[in-house]
Amino acid sequence: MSEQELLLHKIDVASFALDDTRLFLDTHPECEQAVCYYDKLCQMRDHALEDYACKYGQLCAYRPSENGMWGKNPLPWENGGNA
Amino acid sequence: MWTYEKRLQYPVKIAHPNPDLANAIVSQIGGPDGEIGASLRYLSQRYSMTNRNVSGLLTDIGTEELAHMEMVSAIIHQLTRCLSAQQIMNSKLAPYYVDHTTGIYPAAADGTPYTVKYFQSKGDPITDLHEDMAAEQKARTTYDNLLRLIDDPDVCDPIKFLREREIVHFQRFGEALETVKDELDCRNFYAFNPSFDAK
Repeated sequence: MSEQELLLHKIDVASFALDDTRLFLDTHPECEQAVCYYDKLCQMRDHALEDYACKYGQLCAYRPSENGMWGKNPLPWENGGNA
Repeated sequence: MWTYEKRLQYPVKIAHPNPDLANAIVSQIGGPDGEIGASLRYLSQRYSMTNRNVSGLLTDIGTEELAHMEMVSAIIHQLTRCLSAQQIMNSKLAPYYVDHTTGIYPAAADGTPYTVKYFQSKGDPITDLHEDMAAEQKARTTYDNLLRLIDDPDVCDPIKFLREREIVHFQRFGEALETVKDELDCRNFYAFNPSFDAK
């Protein structure tokens, strides 16, 4: 995998862990271990997203973007769009 | 409100087009047990839940189903690249192609366009959560059926992911149902509808 693909993969992995933990917390809101895990993953994901946005372009709405979100990189469903 | 992130929840990287498979898989976008129906069902039902965590669960799962709709659309998109007219004519995709070329259109595998009649939002938490649990099982069975038809590991991979998520969603909805019942009279859960009747 290229550096870009590796970084996107890191974002994908952290995001999915958050997705799954979020659902768990919806039905187990009192689980402190899950809350800790969620917070840790949020931080990891935020750093990876900032890094990616700097180097390869912005993925998220409501975050600063030099070249706009769309024109520069493949769309997620195109080849090269998702690691 | 919703925001969008420019990535798929799970990668879709399919090397070999296959119009027959695309025709079958389109049911998971616009078929009776597909992702659009799932998303609209949960996002519609969340307003009448009396427990906020349950509304939250419906919001979160409804949102995830939109990401799944996107993944299935990506699968179809990649399965229908670079097809010749001959390939299309020899495949089961010919009728879909006539009306939609290789664009994405929410329909079932037999061509029936998506309809909101595929889901109910009954305004009763116990009823709605039972519908949701059934919906996840129906989706899981549909993915099981598709996996029997698929030889290509590039296609199996994201489909297996989507199937797993249905099972997790089913688990969460079961827990939400228990949460709702815990807040009702244990001698008679049906005594009143907490979303409608004054206590």
